[in-house]
Amino acid sequence: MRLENKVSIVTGASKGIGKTIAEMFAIHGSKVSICSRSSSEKEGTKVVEEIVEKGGEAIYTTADVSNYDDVEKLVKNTLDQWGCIDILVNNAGIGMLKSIENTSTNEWKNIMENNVESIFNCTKIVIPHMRKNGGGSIINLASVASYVGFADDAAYCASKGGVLMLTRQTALDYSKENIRVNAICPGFIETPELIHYLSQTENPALEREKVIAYHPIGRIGSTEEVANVALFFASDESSFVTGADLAVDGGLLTKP
Amino acid sequence: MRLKNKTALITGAAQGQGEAVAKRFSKENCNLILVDKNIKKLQEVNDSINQNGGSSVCYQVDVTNHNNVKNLFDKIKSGFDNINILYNNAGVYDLNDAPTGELEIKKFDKIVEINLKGVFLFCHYFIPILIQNKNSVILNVGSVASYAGDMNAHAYAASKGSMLAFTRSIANYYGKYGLRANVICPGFIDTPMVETFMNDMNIKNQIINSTMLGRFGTPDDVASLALFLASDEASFITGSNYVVDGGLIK
Ligand SMILES: NC(=O)c1ccc[n+]([C@@H]2O[C@H](COP(=O)([O-])OP(=O)(O)OC[C@H]3O[C@@H](n4cnc5c(N)ncnc54)[C@H](O)[C@@H]3O)[C@@H](O)[C@H]2O)c1
Repeated sequence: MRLENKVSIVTGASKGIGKTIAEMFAIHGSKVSICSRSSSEKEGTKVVEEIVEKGGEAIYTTADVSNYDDVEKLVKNTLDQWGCIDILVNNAGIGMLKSIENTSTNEWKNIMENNVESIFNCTKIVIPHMRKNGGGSIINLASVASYVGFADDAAYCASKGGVLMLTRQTALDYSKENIRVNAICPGFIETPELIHYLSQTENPALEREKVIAYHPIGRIGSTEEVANVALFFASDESSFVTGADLAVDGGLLTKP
Repeated sequence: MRLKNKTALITGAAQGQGEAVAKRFSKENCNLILVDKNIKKLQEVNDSINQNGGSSVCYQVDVTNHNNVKNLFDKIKSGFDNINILYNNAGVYDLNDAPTGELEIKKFDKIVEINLKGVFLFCHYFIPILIQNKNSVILNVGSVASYAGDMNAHAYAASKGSMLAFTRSIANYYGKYGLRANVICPGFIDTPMVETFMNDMNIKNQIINSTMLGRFGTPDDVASLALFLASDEASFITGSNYVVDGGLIK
């Protein structure tokens, strides 16, 4: 029980990495408040039901984190339920495979709103409550694309570069109030998002082999392996770690 | 019991971070092989671990001495054919280290011998044992100087910077054998190594003021990170480097 009695918000937790983080936090004793967009309300509600069935505490809010008002609702629901917030996991995000020329202005804005402005919204609204609570831990899901560019991936790479820098900058401004801010930079992880990505390519099976070969460790990562890092950053074990970023990428970044 | 059934070889375990890591690993049920050149202090750490229900053996080894390392390898290769964790912690921050133009060549050699060659020797001898398990990890210790360099201690900065490229190379090549390799980069940690900084109020305050969290780290702060990276929880993390520095302000 490494998060006993802590209250966590995990955004975009109806599936994939966010879902596993919510489940793992609950197993470690945290009360978890999760959200997803209305299009995945059913899946999100199910995540909560399963946590509760296993004896955990969880609530669900329909919220699009790129919408400021939605985030206020998410935070209010959390406070109404448990009275405080200790941990914020900014997990929600979207991908898009397009070069800069093929990206419309609206598509660009959409990626930025979902991947960067969403973190701005959640962080801005949660920080006063963490301050009241004497501190907290904010965890942002960046990417290996925060460090290196990927082909035909302009807006996404730019947004994830932004997440990494926002992490460092926020850590600096709020460390004195004992609010730690860190980033997780996953490589390719076995999620519905990855399957969707593969399905868009000409030969998904071949593309999967290619993706596997990016990783010296010879496989794609699991959502548990990312959630383990979130657990470390969320718990007091990382009390001397802030403004840091950690790749969980099977060695992808060691490739020349 | 996050390191159950695992065996760790830890260098420089007589004091400071190495000692804290050894004790923390032991609490998680890890078997230990501890080495240091300071056998008196090492023996005390070893005894204390065993008295508290742990399982530890220790050997006097100077990590720069090829024969010492080879002898250690010969001695333990049969008894410990299942070493899963190699923690290269032994290192020095030498007060006679200096800016390059003034740094004695002999001093440079000595610092690099401990901080780089010592790490190489342990990797060289023990990787063949580590890769017998499909699930092993090497943790090397860099420093915040690995990124930023060091104003005065140029040999130290060079040796610690080398940890990044060396460790990435190991991660890249040995990934296919299931061996992970990562670097831990501590900021200012309260150990005998930084005693002189701690005792000078001016320097001490300067360091505290340039750390976001406003304090020195403890050896246990490093041990928490080491435990995470050594455990199976970090099974997809390799070739990475991780700072534990309380947020050093640039
Ligand atoms: N303390 C810090 O602020 C700090 C910051 C960044 C990095 N580091 C690194 O962390 C590691 C541990 O440092 P610490 O703070 O615990 O220092 P420490 O001086 O307290 O401990 C180092 C240990 O290594 C042993 N050692 C040194 N040379 C050796 C050799 N040739 N053969 C065998 N053993 C040897 C020493 O006897 C000692 O027990 C080092 O690699 C150091 O460079 C420390």
